[in-house]
Amino acid sequence: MSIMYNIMLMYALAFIIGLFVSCIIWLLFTGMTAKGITKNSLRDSYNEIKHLKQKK
Amino acid sequence: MDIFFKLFQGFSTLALSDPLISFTRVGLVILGILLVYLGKKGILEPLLMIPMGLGMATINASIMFLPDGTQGNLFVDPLVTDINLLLDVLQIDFLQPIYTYMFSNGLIACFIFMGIGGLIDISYILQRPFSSMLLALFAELGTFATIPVAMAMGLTLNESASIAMVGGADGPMVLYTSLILAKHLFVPITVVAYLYLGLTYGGYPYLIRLLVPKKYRGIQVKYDKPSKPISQNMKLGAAVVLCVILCFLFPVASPLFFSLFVGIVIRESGLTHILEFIVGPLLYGSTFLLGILLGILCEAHLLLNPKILTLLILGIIALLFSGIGGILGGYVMFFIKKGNFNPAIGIAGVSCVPTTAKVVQKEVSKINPNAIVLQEALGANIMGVITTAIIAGLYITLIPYFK
Repeated sequence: MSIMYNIMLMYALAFIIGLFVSCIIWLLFTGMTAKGITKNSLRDSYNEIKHLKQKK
Repeated sequence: MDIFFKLFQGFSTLALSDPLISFTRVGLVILGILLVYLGKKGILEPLLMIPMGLGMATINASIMFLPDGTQGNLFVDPLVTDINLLLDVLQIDFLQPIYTYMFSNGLIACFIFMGIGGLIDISYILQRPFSSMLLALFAELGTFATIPVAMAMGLTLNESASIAMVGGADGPMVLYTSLILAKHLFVPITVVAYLYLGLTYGGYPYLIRLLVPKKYRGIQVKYDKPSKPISQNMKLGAAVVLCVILCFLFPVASPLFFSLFVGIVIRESGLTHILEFIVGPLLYGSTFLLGILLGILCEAHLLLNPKILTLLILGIIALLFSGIGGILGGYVMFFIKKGNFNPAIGIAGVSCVPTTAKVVQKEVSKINPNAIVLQEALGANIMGVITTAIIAGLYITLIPYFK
């Protein structure tokens, strides 16, 4: 009986580790594909402000 | 008559052996020829089954009288443990160097893993890690459920865990786990495992047809949002981080993790010359040598272990449970995604890369020729390799504590 319990425990542990590994993959992927502030986007917003000021 | 027996020793050993050994030898010769035939026909995996079948037939025909009067062969002696004797055998048996320096230490398994790593694309598991992981974990049902069955059939916990690894359908992992947990059964377990891995190719289509009705088998998975583009650098970075984390978690399985991820890293680094080597000569060369060695290890004296019949039954139970578990996982995903998932994909969680994924696509195409599920199936397949390595690590670490 204790063997059955240990086996179920190991299967549950495998699920937890699997979930942990999936979370790491998800975090890595989300982090790598997230749109951060790039030089181009900064330059674009600077140009936009400059353009608005000139308009005034 | 005496000169005839001395001249044609293959026949004389057959005539002078115990009838059980003789009949087993003849049976294995026939089985070997059958494996070559089924491999050539494409019913079983030809890459492994053709060299294995010929090896099996040849070794059982090549038994001869050795100078000390015992029966043996000039191919390999897997049971030799004495160092001095091993040095003698290394100079006589022509496959002994490959067995000792490549097979029994798991090197051949690692080479095959490097090749598999070089072939697989991890884009899908990066985009949808949770669904791939869920399918892979469900498809490990046989790896766990076979242990109590094996123990009820009289095996020890270590032996049971080793044979249960067949449920992961990952040859190198079975080889590695049995080498550590049940070295005395390492040869029969590995032979049974590889023999059955060839059978998944022929057996799983029937399991899919039995458990997944036609109306579900043709479902094409649809996505609301287009997939984000993934660059090679992203895949490279993810592979490096994952490899390091998994090795931190399970150092016992780190040679296998390293081998798998080094293949992926080389693929994504654009090192084309090395990639060509690992997915070509290294992978095919290792598979070929593995096939030959597995065939040669199917010698009657070696396979007539009283536990072999038990192992044969347990191997098929493990793969059957894993297949059922995988399809169960497919149904769980089907309900989670409210019908937008093909339950047959679940069986691809059984990590026989890429056989089970190909089997799924073939079965789905028969019902709906426009449905492409190979991407999802390969995602579950690749994740299956990772989960099997995780479970191997769990077994090697935890099983000794359960005694």
